[in-house]
Amino acid sequence: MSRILPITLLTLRSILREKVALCMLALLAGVLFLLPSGLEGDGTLSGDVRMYIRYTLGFSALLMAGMTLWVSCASIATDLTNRRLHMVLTKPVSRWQLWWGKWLAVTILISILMTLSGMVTLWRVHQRVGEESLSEHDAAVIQQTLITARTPVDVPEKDFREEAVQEVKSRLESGWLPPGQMTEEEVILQAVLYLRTLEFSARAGEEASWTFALAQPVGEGELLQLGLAFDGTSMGMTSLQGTWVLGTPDAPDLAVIPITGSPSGTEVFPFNEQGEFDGATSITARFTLDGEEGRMVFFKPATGVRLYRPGGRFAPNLFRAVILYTGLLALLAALGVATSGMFSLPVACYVTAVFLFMQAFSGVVSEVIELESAALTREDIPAMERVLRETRVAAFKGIQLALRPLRLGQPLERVASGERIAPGEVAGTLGLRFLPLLSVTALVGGGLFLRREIGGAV
Amino acid sequence: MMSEEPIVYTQGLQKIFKDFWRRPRARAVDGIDLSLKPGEVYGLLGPNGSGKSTTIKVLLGLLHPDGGEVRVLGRPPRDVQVKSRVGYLPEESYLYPYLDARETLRFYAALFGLKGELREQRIDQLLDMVGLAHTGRRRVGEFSKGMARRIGLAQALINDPDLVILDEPTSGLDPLGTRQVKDIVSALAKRGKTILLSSHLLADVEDVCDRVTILYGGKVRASGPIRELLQMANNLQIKLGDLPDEKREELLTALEGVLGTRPDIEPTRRDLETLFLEVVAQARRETGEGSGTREEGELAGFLQ
Repeated sequence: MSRILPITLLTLRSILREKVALCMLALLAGVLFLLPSGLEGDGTLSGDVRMYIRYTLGFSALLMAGMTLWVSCASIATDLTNRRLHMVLTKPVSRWQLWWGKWLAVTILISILMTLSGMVTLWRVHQRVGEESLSEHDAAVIQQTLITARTPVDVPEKDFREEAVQEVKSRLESGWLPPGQMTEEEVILQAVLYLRTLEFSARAGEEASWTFALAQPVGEGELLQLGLAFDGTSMGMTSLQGTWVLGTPDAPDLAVIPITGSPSGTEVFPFNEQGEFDGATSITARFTLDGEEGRMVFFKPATGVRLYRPGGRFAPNLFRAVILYTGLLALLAALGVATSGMFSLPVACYVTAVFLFMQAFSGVVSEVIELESAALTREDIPAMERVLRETRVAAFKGIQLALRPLRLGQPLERVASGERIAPGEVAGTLGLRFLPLLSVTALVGGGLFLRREIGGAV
Repeated sequence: MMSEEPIVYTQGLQKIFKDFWRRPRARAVDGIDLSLKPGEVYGLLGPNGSGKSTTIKVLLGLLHPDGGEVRVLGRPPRDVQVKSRVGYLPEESYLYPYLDARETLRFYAALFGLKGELREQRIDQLLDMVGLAHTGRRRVGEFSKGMARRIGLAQALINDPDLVILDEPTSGLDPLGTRQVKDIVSALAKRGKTILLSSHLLADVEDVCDRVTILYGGKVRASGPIRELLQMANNLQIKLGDLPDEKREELLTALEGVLGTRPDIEPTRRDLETLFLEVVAQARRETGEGSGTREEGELAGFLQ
């Protein structure tokens, strides 16, 4: 440690004195202070606050990922280019110590900036809410719907396969022919996707319904929330009008929530303000879309219609997300430092950016595997194409396996939508996923750096 | 008499630079044998591209040898324990431009595990020794090349090393700095330190080195004690003190009788370096210090 610390301090000093930290702070200040002034909410205080939280956290996350990538990739590569490492590595410092020293510096820097970002966001939100003279009731609603943490009620995901098989079978019996050269498996897969989409959609004039079974009955005065993520633009809708009716199986019409406005978005509607749902163990939600026949709105499958219960205070939840995201950035920093020890700055940035990109789009990888695997069930595929497809599936499965520990579901985005991040999740993710990955990255990165020759180009 | 283990030992050292596809591109070092004894000043000479710096980088563990044997202080050069006993001044002083002189030395001292009072004492002494004690908070990025070389030299000595490797140590230095480096090298050698000095400034090497190896094309072309290499057996020189004119004439006549021809005679000349040092010393006494480096101090106390 006595050799690692001087390297860490030197790296931090270079970030400070070469004005890198200043640039980072200026960009972060832009995101935290200037960006919100350019945003226009729906004119309500809750709309403004919601937009502020969502955009500042979203942009902070993006900015911090970019900064981490740049600083970590420059950490060793720049010293190699400027030949400063020639002097350092002739001192009694092992390359492992140099590697850890650089990583520690980047991690300290991003931890400080992430904490700062979280604190400013929190302060600005409370300041914004405090500016308005709100009634006690309105303040409580904002407190409980925006500046809060909530947990979604788990709904077991429905398996549509059996239904899809039946649907395909009955269609084939009635003389229907599948398009192109699709195999039965491909047709079933398409049918599953179709039924799943249908389950989370509503047609004009028809009632769509959902039921949420609660593990614990609704407490006295417990504010519940209905969370919606929807999109009607694919059906050409320019505005959306409809009505949600909430209740219990015994009393299905306890609360009515009229919806009007944008055809797509993410909204949260609080209910049970009067305590009419107190003691309920099951909640029903029915939706009727207004307008002419043929109009349709789609909710995000699985998460588009959710029932939320209170899950704690906003501030601790935000900081748990900050810790989780900082952990992810620390892992990105490890990769950046590792590539920095092997390649020049542009190549190191490129390699790390590809990783970042893949991490962000890791969900797409699963879909590709699913579709490619289904296509492979065809028997009439030419041998060469089959080999190519099989190779592609194998490669994507490898990527999926490598990225699995990193699938976080964007902690800052989750906090912006009010979702609670449990302390156990933070500890588990950091301890069981990030720490082993960090060790592996350090082992590979440090090991390759150990083999690298310094000053070979004479 | 016991044979002492060499401080630096290479046998058939080879280094081949390869391209991306691992194909040999240049044979930079080709079978070099070196053996440095404790307390000697050893010169590595050669034109640009002769393999001097590559050999040094292999000795420092920065490059891996492709063949032959290398031992530094009895161990492989990449051993961290070896590095704690070695001081190195590269051909260019690759310093961190955002640090000042004291911070630079503090950083390198920390890498050697030096702390507290001892570290600060050494830094004070070294800054004084290289004439940069007055630079204060000025960052080394603003230093002249000569000043940067001096800091480079100071960092190479901060750990009181047993082996000092100096790559072109006088490059960029004014004659005063050059003289000082040579004095430091001599003083360190007297203390039993081993110095490996690489240079193509032959006069500097001649002044301080006990033995030299001349490289060309990565191979040893000549090697041995400098006196032996420079000795010309058939050419003699007689040094005389101050002689009156009549005595000089008498001597020349006698020599003419012995040799058959009258020998050339001319007064002894000082070398330019000596003249320069005298003039600057005089100027300093008259006008005081300039804004760059100041008059160098004594050899740092911990090195004496």
